Amino acid sequence: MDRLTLRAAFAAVLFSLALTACGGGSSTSAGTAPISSGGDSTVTVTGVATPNTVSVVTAKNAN
Amino acid sequence: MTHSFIRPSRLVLALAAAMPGIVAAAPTTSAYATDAQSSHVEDATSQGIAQVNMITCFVTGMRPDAMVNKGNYVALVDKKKCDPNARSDSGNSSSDNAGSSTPAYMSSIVNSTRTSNTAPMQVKTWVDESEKGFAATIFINTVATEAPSATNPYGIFRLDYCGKGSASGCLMNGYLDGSATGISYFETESGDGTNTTALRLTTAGADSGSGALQMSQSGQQVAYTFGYNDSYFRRFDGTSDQCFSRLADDPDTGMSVWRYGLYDASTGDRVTRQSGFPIEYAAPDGKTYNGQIGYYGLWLPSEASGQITNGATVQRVQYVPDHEPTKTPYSLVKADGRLMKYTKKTRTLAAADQIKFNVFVFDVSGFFDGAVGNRQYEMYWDDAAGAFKVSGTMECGNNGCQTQDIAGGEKTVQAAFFATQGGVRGWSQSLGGEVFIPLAGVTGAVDSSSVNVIYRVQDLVYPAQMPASLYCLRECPTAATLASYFAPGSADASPFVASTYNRWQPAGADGVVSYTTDSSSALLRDGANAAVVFTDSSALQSRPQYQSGIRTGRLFTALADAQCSGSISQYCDQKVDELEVYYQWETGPNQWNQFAAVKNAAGAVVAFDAPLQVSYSVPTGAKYGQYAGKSIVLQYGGFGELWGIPGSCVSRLTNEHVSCDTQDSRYVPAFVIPFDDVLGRVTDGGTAYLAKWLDREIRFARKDTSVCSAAGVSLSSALTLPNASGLQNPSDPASAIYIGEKPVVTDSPRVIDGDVKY
Repeated sequence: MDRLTLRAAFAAVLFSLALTACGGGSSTSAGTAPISSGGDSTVTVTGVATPNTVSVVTAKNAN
Repeated sequence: MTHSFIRPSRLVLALAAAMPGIVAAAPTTSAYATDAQSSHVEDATSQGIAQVNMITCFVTGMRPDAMVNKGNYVALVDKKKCDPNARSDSGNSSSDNAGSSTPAYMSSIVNSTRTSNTAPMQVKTWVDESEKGFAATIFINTVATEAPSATNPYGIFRLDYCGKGSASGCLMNGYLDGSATGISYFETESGDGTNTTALRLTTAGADSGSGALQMSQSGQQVAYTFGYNDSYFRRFDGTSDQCFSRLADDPDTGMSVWRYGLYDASTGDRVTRQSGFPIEYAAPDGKTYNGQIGYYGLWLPSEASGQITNGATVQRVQYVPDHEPTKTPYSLVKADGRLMKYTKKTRTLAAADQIKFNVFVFDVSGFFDGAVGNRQYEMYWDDAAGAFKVSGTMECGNNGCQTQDIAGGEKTVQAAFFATQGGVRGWSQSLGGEVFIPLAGVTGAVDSSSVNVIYRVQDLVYPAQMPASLYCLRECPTAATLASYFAPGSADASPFVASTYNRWQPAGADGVVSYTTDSSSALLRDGANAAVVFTDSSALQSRPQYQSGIRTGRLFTALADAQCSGSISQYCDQKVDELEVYYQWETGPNQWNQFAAVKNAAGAVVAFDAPLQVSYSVPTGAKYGQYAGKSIVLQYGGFGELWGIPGSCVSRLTNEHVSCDTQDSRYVPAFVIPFDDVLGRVTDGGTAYLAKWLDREIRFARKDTSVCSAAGVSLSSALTLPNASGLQNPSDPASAIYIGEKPVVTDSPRVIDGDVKY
């Protein structure tokens, strides 16, 4: 596969997921992922949620 | 991005007080009350950052926040749930989106680590991209220190990625950096020329921000500058200055929801459907692939789907909390077509007031002036006018079908127009699918309260349920007619037996096409005992109206059922339309055109739940448009999958309604089911459920540009956009953020669509 075709295919895969559906939104709830230990005491390390979608502006009174 | 919190509506509280026991709110600890909701603003600039938003969506769906310090794991995320372009493609304005519920998973290896609650969380991700002979891996390095919140909607994070094929270097390289002061985004695609996207947003709290977005795509330059204050958002693309209200409660603000949950009305528990289960397939190429088998058929990655055959062994993967999943062998039953059963339901024409449907009109004599024959039209019954209204026409091409508004406005068509055809045969998303309105013999005005609209519940037919023989009067293919029509240079008018194409007149016994079924192979066979299947996707593409597959006309089990009223030696297709049950066979290249199921060790085929069909009484009010106060039918295929809300097209640039064939149009659900114990209630017979929106887009209300000017909303003028100097490459061993080669993980997926399995 030549480079142009490869690039086009890559873009097509990402841009043209050719089915309908749903998704979008903002973020998952902050996860609480237990685990991790240090010495005799166990420490619970919590995960950090990341945004599901970013946009350049937010709405007011959305609730 | 905003988050909504639970609050009982005043109406619910009032009703609950007035009618104790009738409207009991779901418990505040229930999933209905606690499941998170999210909203985002959809704007013309969203198109420019769609690709990075897909990546952020994938990363979020892999749940690295919930899998911290648990080592490498496999995560599956349904591509469709992260593709805003596909879900709102204006081609979705065409009728049947039967394939929409088939999952198409993207598989990733993920490793999430964090040394302490004050340290950053680092997520290394290797996303497999494989489709139609193309294989690549997206290397993603994510560092996050603060989650999104009401005061900082982006959180604090940085995401660097590189899409890498077989060649060295990145085909796609980019980063997204979010903080309390805004976001920076830059991406480049290299190859024959370079495409770039650069975005910078600077914020000062929630009520002030400005930025710019520049895109260079295939030689075309698009540039936006934008700014906002506490009330208005202004955007300029070099020629057009647009002003919008930021207020979600502005009456002209548009909203659409892409995912709903459905909940038990009493307990507030999620309603689950046994619609499928995950599988593993050890393919002849020596690799083991993750997939899904369910009501909508089989899904496997493209490199595996070509290897699996009827009778292959797959392993069902069953998850047990905190334990390794169990695996059970099943045998695959696969056929290149499938039989669907349609069971009758009715409502009066008056009760179908304003509900749109699509109908194919072959002969437009007397339809309306300017109508074009042999075309599909969008229509509805207007009870106040006592006539049908034609609101659009379906235009089909290589990119699918789109609804185009009727030039000069809606047209009126009297019911009598359909008398010679026996009635209206159409398809309505809002009535659950196939629609027939018997109007044979109608000559003048009709009493809409005495005319029935027949619509259908559809079910997949499993092999053991297939009738031994079936008959067809109209649109009846054979293996030979399919092969002939799709042959290069064919002059055939249709893929059907010629005498059955567009046959509206009665047929004699010699005009009936007979079929048999083969339950051992789940196939429909024609009179020559040949399987009625056709799966050549390139040949189907050459006939755009059949690019998604071929569907027969109505099939029925007893020839006598179709005898015409006045002549028992003649057979009438409209008689079939009135039967309690009829069938249709479809065949095509897509997994959702084909039958796939599994047999257990005892040889029994596992039957999955069909979508739950529920009724929704749309509330009254202007925001519900022509559907206000009407009853529509919705389909629930599983959590997050509630569909059937009618849609319309809006402009990406202005957010206002446009015809779906307009450039830059998007197809969106026309209204939102409110999160409300009363107004958000749907029913299945005597059983009530509560719908709750989960993911919502907000489209700002357009205002005159003078409004933004008067409010002092200024555009950014001296902003430095990110550039390639900020790029890093997580796939490069020499990079400070190198995440390593993709690890080998043989365990079953631990996360599927954001759900942590074990």
